Amino acid sequence: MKKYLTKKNFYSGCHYCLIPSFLIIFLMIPVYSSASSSWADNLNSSENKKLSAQYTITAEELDGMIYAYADSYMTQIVSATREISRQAESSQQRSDAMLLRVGSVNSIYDIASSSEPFTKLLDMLLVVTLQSYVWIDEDRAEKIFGHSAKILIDAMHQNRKEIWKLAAKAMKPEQLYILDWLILDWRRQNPDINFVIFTRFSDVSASRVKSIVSDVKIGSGFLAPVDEAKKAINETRLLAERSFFYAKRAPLIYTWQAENLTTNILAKPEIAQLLEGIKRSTLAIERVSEVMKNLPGLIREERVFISSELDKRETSISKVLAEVRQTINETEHLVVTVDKLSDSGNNILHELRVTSESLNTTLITFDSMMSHHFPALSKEEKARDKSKPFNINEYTEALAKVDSAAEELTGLMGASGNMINSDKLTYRIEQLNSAARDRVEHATEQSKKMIQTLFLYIALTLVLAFSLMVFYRKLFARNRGEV
Amino acid sequence: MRLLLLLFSFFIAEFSYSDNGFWNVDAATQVPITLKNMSSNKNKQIINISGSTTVSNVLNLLADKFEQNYKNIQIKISGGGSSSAVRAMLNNSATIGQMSRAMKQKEWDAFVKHYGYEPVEFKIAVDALAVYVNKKNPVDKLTSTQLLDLFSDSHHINYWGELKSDQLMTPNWEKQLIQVYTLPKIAGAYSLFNKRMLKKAGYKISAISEPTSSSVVQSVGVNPGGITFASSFYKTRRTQFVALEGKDGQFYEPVQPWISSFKYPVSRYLYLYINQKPGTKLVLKNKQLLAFLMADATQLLIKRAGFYSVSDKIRTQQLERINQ
Repeated sequence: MKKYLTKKNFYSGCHYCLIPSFLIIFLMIPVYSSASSSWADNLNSSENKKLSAQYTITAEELDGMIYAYADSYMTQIVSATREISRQAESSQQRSDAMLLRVGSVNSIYDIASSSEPFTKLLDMLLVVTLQSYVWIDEDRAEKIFGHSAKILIDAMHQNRKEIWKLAAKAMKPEQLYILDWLILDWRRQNPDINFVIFTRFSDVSASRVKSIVSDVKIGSGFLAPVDEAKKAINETRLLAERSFFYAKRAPLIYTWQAENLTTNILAKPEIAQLLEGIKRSTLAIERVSEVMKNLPGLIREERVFISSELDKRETSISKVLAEVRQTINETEHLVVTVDKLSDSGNNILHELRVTSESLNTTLITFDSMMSHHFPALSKEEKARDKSKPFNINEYTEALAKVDSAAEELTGLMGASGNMINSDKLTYRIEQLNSAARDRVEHATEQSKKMIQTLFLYIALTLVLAFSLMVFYRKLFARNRGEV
Repeated sequence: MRLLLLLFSFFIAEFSYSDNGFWNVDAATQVPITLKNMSSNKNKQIINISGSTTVSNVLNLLADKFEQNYKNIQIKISGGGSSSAVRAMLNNSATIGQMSRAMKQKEWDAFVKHYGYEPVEFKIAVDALAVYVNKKNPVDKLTSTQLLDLFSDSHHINYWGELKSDQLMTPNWEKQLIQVYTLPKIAGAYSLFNKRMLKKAGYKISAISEPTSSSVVQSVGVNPGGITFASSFYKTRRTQFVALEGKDGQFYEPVQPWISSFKYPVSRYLYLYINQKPGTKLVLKNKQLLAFLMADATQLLIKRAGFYSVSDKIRTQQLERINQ
């Protein structure tokens, strides 16, 4: 049979031999293809290449990539959740991190070990994208894990980028665009579902998704159509691969699940309280034992310490006492000095008072004398001036009032300092001016009056003296004349 | 009597709501939905639409709803870019061309030369691109020059502190690296933003390309120094919009009034061009599709998809044309 296939026979043989040759070749193609012979495969693949130059990935390749992705996803999530657990501020955060790890990885391995590669890809795309929406875009990571959230955000973001890269190997950009929109739209329609890891594309019931899936499967994307001849063999092989893949990873997941269970139990408030109580009791007992054990030594140490402290303190207390005593002595001296000063002040005042009283008495005497000798003047004076007799104390008081007005002015100015920017400032200044002006005017008026009175008295004294001189002169002249 | 009952049931069927209660097609469009075209026709009529990827994104999202209402019609949408729309119409592979820009004069002339009449233009939605920054970023508006500095390598600025902005005076921001995220080159938004806002200067070499809008927006949410552009539909709690400088020098946020009035600088109409001979009525399936696109509920769905509705005035004018 093979001789018909030689170049020599094919090209140089009698032309009627061509018909059986073609027939044989034609009959052999399915035989070879069903047996997966290389020749038929080559023919098929070359035909496929001609038919669809854009195909870049086969179902088997896609399957392999999905397994690789699942492991990469697991690595990212496990390292992120482990780091979060290490940095966790509460047992609740540790429990949440563990739950996220177990749930996510379990879901991804569940998808990876399911049957059909393209459906697996879509389901992974959905789960990983939804997870990134929930944990990144909706800020769930920050709410739950606080400052450690960034580790998870980075891991989720990386996982999402990788799955879309993988999807781009099987689907056209417009198909990806529609899936992207559909996933986000589904999330917007179902915002309350936080546990998204077990959502599958069959739940997103849009017929456009179904049409995309069927379109891609028949070759509208970059996925090669399934070779029906090899389908049965591939399925058997893929089933074995899937079982092996999951079986290898299952123990790890079971361990995490057990760990998660323990963490969950420990995170429960009652258990946490109990554990805290036990921990406290243990610590207390440990502390008591330690104290008992070290008691003799402690007592000795304490005694030595207390003695030395007392010695130290005695010295310092003596110093303080000496200082206090010195201060008291000085204070006593000061008080005596102040008393003396006060006494001398009092004396001055007293002397001033005596002087003023003496002068006053003199003037009163002079006044009465004047009234005796010059009644008209006295009458006129009484009528004109109803004021009190001259008193130097009043003059002093007037000066004191000026001084107090100045003091008040200073005080008011100080108080006004805080009000410099207030609206009441003008009013306050007016009030101040008015108060000061009144006092000053009053004092000035009194001073003037007193000065006038003084001058009047001096003038009167001069007049009196002059009159007395005149009177004396007349009297002397009369007496000389008489003599 | 039987005839009267039959007529009555026909009347009810004609003017009833669709089975999902979502679209009152007749009220909005005046287009009769007959019992025949609702369900009885097993041989589905196909509407072939080809052209802009951006418009195909909108139509893909609406096609489900349309096909639910018109079970005898199937929409086949293919991308390839706006320029492929006219080619597809000329070789009869599509009866409707979808474009994210108005048809160019030479394309128009080619169509007229081929068919002997002009295509009919419909505006179905308004597309706008929002500029996103991280929620911690103090910048809330950008001039055209600042936008060019940030997105392109025209002035080689690498840090936010190098951007001449009063809002960035804190030391933290002066040393914050600028990271641009872009959509893939084939995305309509990529070229629109480059053309409209960067004057074709191109993006920074350091720009990171990501496959979808939600992924670029999320990247900005994760990276405090990140900046990107995408439809406003994708806003998250970790990102914020930036107001952009309009032609009049004022700043506008990407919200409906500024987008519909085209004061927001990155807005554009999305078009459908129909191959229809003048003086003839629109083919029913095309008429139904166009009426469906102009309906209130569809325009709401367009908004939900991250696009913006055309003004009521334009919708009324187009509905009148559909019903001629």
